[in-house]
Amino acid sequence: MQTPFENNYFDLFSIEKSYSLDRHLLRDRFRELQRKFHPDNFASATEQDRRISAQYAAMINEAFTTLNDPVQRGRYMLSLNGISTDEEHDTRMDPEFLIQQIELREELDTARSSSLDALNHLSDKVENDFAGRMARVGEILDGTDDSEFEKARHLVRELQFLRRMQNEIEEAEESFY
Amino acid sequence: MALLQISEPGQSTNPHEHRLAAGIDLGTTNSLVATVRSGEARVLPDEEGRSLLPSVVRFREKGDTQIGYPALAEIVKDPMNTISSAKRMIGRKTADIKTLRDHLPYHFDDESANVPRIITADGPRSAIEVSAEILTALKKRAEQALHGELGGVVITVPAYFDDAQRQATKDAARLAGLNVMRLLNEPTAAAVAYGLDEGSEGVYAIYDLGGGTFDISILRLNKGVFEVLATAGDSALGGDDMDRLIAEWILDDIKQAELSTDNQFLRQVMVVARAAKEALTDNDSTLIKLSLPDGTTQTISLNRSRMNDIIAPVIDKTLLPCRRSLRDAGLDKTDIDGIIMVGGSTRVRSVQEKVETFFNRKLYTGVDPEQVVAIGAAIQADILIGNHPTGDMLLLDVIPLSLGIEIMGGMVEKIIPRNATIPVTRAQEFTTYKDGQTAMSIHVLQGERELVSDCRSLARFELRGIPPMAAGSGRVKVSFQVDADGLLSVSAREATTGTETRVDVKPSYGLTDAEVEQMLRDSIAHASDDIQARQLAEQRVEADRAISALENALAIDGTTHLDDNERSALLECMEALRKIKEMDDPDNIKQAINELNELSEPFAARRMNSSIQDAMAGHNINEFSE
Repeated sequence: MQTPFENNYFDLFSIEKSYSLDRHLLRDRFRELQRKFHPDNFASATEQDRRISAQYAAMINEAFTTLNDPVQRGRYMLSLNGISTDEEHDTRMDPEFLIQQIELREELDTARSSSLDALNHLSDKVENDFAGRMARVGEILDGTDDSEFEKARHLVRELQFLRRMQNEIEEAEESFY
Repeated sequence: MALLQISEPGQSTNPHEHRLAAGIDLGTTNSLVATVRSGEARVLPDEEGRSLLPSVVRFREKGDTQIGYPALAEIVKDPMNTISSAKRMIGRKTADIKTLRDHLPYHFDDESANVPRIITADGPRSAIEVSAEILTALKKRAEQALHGELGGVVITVPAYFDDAQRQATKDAARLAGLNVMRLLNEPTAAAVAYGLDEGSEGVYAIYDLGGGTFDISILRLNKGVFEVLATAGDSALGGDDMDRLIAEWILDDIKQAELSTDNQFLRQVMVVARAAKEALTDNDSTLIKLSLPDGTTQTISLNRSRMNDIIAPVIDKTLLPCRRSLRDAGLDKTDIDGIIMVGGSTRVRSVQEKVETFFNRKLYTGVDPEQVVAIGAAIQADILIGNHPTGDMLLLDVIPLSLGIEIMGGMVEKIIPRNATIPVTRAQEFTTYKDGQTAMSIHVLQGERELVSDCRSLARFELRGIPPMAAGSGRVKVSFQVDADGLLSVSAREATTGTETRVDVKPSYGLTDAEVEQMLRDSIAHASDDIQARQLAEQRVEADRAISALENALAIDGTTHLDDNERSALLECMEALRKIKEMDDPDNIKQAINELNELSEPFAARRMNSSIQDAMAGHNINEFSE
């Protein structure tokens, strides 16, 4: 069954279409919708109602997860503009960024075998980089210059790389406990 | 309840009718049943006033089964037929419990069986059947106390239970003749019991250490919405492990290594080990008395600080999931407002001390840690059955472990990540890798590791009938759906022809539907039951519901969302169901319900769409949060 709003999650939550959205408002609206559509409201309803409510609740969860996460939100807003960030179609990356990634990875290997402090330091560095690129994505997606979208596509993919790096650092940190 | 009558959640068909519902905490060591009476959730005691039911079942010849305290009393004397801690085995394959089995006295049947069965004096019994006996006893207790039949129950499971363990728990409930409205995660249930009592808002960690399972959940409570942000744990870690470490220390101390193969003696050591652990909650030291097989007795002394050293590895093992859950929630220890302590094992002093030190936050221990889960489940059950005029509470839970499928090279591709809010639906497309490939086999897995061999295999199925095409041209879309119980169903569809294969993830472990049916037939509880008659009654109830739901919906906005043709087609179909319902064939009724459902699906969807629009209509997109 085709559910509505699959094409625009911002409309679903009745919030302004913006990368730098109000996350508190988003969360409030999300809760408000789930209060009405979550399957718990239909526990003693017909089998059909239970099934439909589960489909809608899943869609509301998906929409919230997508808009709440900076990487997924970027991908989603680009897809609304017909731009795919799918890695399978285009694997080219900015060479400068790739070199930086290799350096970060080397730093991670060194930090892994030295100290928790070294890992924390690296983590801060990656986080700053992430925040900087995320701000850039916001400027482009909330701006008026469509020709910049291609740049945003690269930035979103770079955010994904940094996210993975952040996860690896955190896993390395766990081994210190 | 009308077809998606969204304005009044949880309303029962008759608003004045109070339906009986209960919450059940099916524990490793003890189980409880609770219900809401006069607005208050209470645990229901047995005839002797005891609220706990030891999760112990003793199978004797000719079906003379003992459950709870009477079984517990015989555990040392009859270790082979007296089964405890079935929860540690439920939903697990023989191979999975291999390490556990080294500590168990039981004899298992077929080594290769999907469902391990313990050989007892009354024949082989699986953990599912043992759990069903416990559930049956609790059902009986509740129905006697409430003077009526239970309309539905909420059964709690460890948050970290995987799909197999959840499904097995549901099967046990089915064998016990219970209508499960929801499987609820234990930490979430505990939060409900606390949240409604204290009206607290904020972010809480729920630390739940039971007899055999450990869960940690990070949960945000806001205006009656309990939103689980992350969960982690270990479904085979608990007080049992502390007992075992203490028992090993005792065996070592009395220098009776040769007795470690004597099952009766080992049981005795486990029993005194647990007693010593409990005694050391209030006392600084305790005496352990043992009767040796040669008739002599021996007494040794254990103090608290020595015990703390012995059990430290178990407690330390819980701290890693604590860290992981914080990380997954994207939070720091300082973001946590308080720690809710749940489970009998949190009575151990050093558990409390270590958790308090780790989080450096206040511990909540106000509600009895052994009762709190059952109480939370009872509150949820009361809401789900429709005894509340308005839904003043909502639980948003997550899936504890990632779900994925096998791809080339024995690797797992994740489709749904752990900690995704449920219900959740995700699909992913895979392409054929050989020219002319007409079938694709799909292997569903659960777990965090990258290799298939390190994850839990949930199911394998095959999608056939893909038209022969060049490699890479055949596209198969695999959809995962996880419902609000955390249970998975998977379907696969070939994109060009629409060949569809659907599985409820079940077959590669646990009981098949046919096996459950057979057990139902065999069980004494249902011997007098006419299955055909029951099915007929069930289908008639469902038919009545479907008809009254549709009538209500048509009365409310049948003209807004339907044209004349659609409306008359629906009415015709409804009349047909009304007639078929009066006949005696449950299968025909079921089919007629399905036909009506199919025909009314677009109507239901239109009503749902417009109600979402209505729900958000009061908002201006330029609004800001407070």
